[in-house]
Amino acid sequence: MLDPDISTEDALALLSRVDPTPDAHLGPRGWSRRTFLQAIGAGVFGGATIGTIGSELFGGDIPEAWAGTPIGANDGIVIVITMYGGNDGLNTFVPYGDANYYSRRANIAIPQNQILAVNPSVGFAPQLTYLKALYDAGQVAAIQGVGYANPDLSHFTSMAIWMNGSLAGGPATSGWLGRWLDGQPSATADLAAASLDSSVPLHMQGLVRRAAGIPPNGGMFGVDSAASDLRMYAGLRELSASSAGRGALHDTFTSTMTRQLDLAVEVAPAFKAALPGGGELTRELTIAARLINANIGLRAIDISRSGFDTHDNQNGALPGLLVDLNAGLQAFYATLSPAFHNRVTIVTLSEFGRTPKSNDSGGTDHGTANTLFVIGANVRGGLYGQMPSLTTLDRNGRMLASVDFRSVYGSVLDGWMGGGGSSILNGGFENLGLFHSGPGTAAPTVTPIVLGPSVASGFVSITPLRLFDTRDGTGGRSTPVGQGESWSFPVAGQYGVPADATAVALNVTAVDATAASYVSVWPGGTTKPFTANLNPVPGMAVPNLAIGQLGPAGSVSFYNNSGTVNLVADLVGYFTPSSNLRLQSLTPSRLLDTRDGTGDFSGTLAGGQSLNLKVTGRGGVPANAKAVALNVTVTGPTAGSYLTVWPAGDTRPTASSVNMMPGQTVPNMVLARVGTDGKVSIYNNSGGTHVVVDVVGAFADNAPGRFVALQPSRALDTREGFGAPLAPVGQDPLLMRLLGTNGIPGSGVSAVLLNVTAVAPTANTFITVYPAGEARPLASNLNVSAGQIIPNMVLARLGENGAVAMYSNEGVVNLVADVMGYFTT
Amino acid sequence: MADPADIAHLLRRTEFVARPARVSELSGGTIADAVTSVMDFVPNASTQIPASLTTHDSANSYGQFISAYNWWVDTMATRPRPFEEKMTLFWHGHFVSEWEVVGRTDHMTSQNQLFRTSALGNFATLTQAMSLQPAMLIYLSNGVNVKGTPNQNFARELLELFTLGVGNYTEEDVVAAALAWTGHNYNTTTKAYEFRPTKHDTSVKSFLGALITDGPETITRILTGPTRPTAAKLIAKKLWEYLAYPKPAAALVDELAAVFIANNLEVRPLVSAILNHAEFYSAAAKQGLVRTPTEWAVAILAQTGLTSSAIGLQGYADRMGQMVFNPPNVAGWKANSYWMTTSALSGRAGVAKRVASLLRANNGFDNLYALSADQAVDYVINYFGLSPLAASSRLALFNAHSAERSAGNGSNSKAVTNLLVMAMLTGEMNVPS
Repeated sequence: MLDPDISTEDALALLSRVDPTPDAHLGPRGWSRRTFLQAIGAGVFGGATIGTIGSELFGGDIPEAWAGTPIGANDGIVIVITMYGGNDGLNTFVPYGDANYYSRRANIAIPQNQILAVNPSVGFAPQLTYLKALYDAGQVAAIQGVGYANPDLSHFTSMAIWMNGSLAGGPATSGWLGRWLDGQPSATADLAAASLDSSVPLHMQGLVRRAAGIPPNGGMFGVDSAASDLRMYAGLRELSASSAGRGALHDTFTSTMTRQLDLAVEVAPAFKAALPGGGELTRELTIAARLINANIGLRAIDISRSGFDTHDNQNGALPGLLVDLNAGLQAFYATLSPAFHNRVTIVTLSEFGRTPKSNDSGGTDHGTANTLFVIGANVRGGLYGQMPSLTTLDRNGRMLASVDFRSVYGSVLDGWMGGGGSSILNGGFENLGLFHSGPGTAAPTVTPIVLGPSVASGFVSITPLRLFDTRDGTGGRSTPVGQGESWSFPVAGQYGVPADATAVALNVTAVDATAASYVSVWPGGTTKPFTANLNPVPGMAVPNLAIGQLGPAGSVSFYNNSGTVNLVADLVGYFTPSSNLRLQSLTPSRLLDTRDGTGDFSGTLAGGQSLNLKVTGRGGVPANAKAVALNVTVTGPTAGSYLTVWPAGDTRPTASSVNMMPGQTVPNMVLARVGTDGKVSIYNNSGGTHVVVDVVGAFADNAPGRFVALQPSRALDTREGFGAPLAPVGQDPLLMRLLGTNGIPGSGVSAVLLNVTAVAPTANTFITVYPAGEARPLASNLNVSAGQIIPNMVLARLGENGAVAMYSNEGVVNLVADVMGYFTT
Repeated sequence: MADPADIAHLLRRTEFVARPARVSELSGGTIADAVTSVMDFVPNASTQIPASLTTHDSANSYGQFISAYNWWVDTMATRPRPFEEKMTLFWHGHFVSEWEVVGRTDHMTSQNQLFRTSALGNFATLTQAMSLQPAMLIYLSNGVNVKGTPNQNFARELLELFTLGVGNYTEEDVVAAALAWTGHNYNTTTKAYEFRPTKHDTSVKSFLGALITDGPETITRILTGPTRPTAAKLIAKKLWEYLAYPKPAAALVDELAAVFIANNLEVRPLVSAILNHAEFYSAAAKQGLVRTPTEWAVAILAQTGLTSSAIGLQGYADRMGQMVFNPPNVAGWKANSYWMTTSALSGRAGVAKRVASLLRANNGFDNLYALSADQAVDYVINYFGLSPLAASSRLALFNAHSAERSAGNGSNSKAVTNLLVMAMLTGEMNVPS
């Protein structure tokens, strides 16, 4: 219902003012730079960004000045899509992982199974399939929580603020792209900006220039070429050649008519071919692409659609509008010449978002913070800002913004439109780093090598076998892994691992780290993902189980981020399609706690001492289980030591399952083959320590879960608001949906293998990961002391809505989770 | 004796065009006499909306909308006292509803008739009536506003756009008003306003410093409480800007608002004060407004006798920027620079070409062939009521017409057509002063 109607009388007063002492060379209504600065008050722009002030207020009177000038080789183009009325960002880019989304707007919430999920927290509305594909291609920055302080709930006041790009009081007289236009060279400024509408909105009005208006249905006046028509056009131009002496409006009218005649010729080619059906955005984005292809100098194009003011029956209106937006983007890129793909950035905006709580009319009222999209081949895609809380609201019950809208403008102006952001916006704002390369330069050609899901496989458990130790040359390497180094180690076809193995289970220990670092483990020969498996720190031996997909050549890669570190890896099993040993995932159950005698062993396990732990028939482990997934925690060790876990009855191997330093509590997941009498053996090397064992899964013939290994990918990082709100996790469990995300299919999944890292809790605590909707079991996945960074592999059984719950027993802690694969049902 | 130039200005701003008969009729008296005549709607009798536009035809929904557009624009051009229509258009742009949202022509025409019968009536009475009118109930969602979590759409715009303006109320007032209006709904069966007691929140609300319960009380409080002068100024300023020029001095607004308040928010005395004001006849006022697309089109209809449907005017309305019955948003239309964009003027050019073609059909204006170029130009200037044209404008028309005559080698067809188009696209036709 809202379209460009921001009052621009103040701008007009400047635009149409007749210079009392015209310079002859500037023409009758020209502006000298001097008079312009007097008129606006010197210093508004610091004088710096104003280029040559053109003589052509509305396009000038000289037709030759209108010949379209191709844009420069490194000039960026921006398209602004304005959604008038206040688009409901929450039903456009949906925080579907937040239960409050469903409770506060039950009558209009989009069901989880319709969301085009980006991660377990947020996803696109189901209509935005093409935008989602662009997002997946890394070409969409979804900037969440955009707004400004003390938000105004009036359409018109708020849109004036947005379009102006300023919070200054008083009526807005110009807009941010208009002021950018003011700074363009006069030779090209006439055609540098256009609005596809009958009126020109405030953001396209400068202090000295105004964007051209192009009717979105074409048919401009002035394209006929008969001699008599040309004579009529000349006559109309003559009407504007000198002032009629009937006031400024009269003269502005005639000069605008002349500009119309000039513009008609330039834009006519864009309307020659038929325009697509569908909505306004589809039509206008198609025209925009054609105008860009014509390369007549356009660098800023405004298109818009109204109808986003969805106070009632929102689900009857908004989906259709989003269909138009989606189809429009698709039509745009289908029309745009490939030569311009790396020249165009699209920005969406609206005057505000809407209320987090819906009203009883099936709609939403005027709100505040909103998600906007910046789209383009050179855009550094991903999530920016943070999704606002739906419960921590301002005094009017509106959401709180975290990103100033002017930082988006500034980032686009400086990163894409040639600079001047701080002058145009009258202040510096955070540069969001929205672009990985400037206009006209090719986007970095990263051709990621990413493996698809592995063939579903069964497990083969072995007695732990040391594969390598970079301290002593076991496995062929005797030097630590350097800073930033990636190192591949072939496994398949050796060490008893068959050539068709899809993944291996390694217990990896980092020792002798010279700096706090992280180590990533991923399929050899593929592009390193942004995930981490271990977090080495100097002075400690840090273990973690890594279950990694094997690369095309059957190898596993290791990467160390900082300093140098020695790595020790023990092979504890592998996955192969020919094995029938499958996972029965279990609710975590405590099998051993030497502190209280659970498991029939009381008191610390002394150095050199072993114990045998019965696992079958306990905690849901079937009698025929061949292997178990155990979460083994040491607590209160008196010396630097390690535990070895191996099949009872076998010779104890040279391998470590958990490494510890005095006083530490250290957890680690252990995949252990079940030995004689359904038992596993546990050995402590030195000192004494308590040991706690929880069983989280069992591998048995004909159990349901076959393993599908995935290229590792990050699913959660609460430090960055990735996958969840930007808030640490405490005793109120964080629900994280995994089904349908990170390569995990939407159905047929029993459990997900996650590497979970706890980062710097505020208190000594333990983390429990359990199926959403179920009672929290007495079990721990990670034990971590205040300030520590501790990872552990977690076998996460999925609960309600395909989600897991994450709980911290004390204080609050940031959590990071990477997906390694999943087990089938 | 009034200056005929002042009379012409008065008529252009109130009756769309300065019809020569009216200029001569009114030039014999004073400005005050002329204003009285302009505001006397008795000669219009009672304007009847055609029955075909007062019932909803779901099979011809858009066709009804086009018919309504044509009917109203023709009505503006043909009433003996067109100021009634100009005031109806004012209220349409103030208490906005959009056909595209309402979806029913019958509700739009009933609202249109409410604005007509209230054109110079009492502002408070009109505000109460419009709040319960079906088009408004649908457009600003009060029709579905129920207790529980109320819908703020109407409540906010009532305060922001219809009466007080931003900064003159709090968010709490919006919340209270939304609650007060619950239950004042639209019955989708009877297609009429209905008060549903079970959907109405009966609690006492604090609104603009008073305790109220029901929706209509909000309007009463706004217009009779401490905010009364604020509302009076908003309407006085908006009417001045509609009839004279934008951004009047504060003192002038205060003066007009005082008249409005002294007359219990009756619109007729306020408009009379505006039209009788010396400032209304200043150069600033005469040169202060661009004809809106509708006003420009109505002027053409009045001068040529063509009808809206003959031209197909509605098909050009969107591009020109003004579609009556379908304003762009709840704030209505703006003025001046709003209309002067390259795209909007391409729409006026389209109409001008179409009108010239209709006027030329069956050899219309062939009589110009017999005249000299000078005489032909003056004939067309007078035909469109543009006399006196600025010297520079007249010279441009003359040069183009002469050139076309010379190039035409005896065929003057194009010379006439182009002259007509150019006349309609002059500054004088679009920004008459």
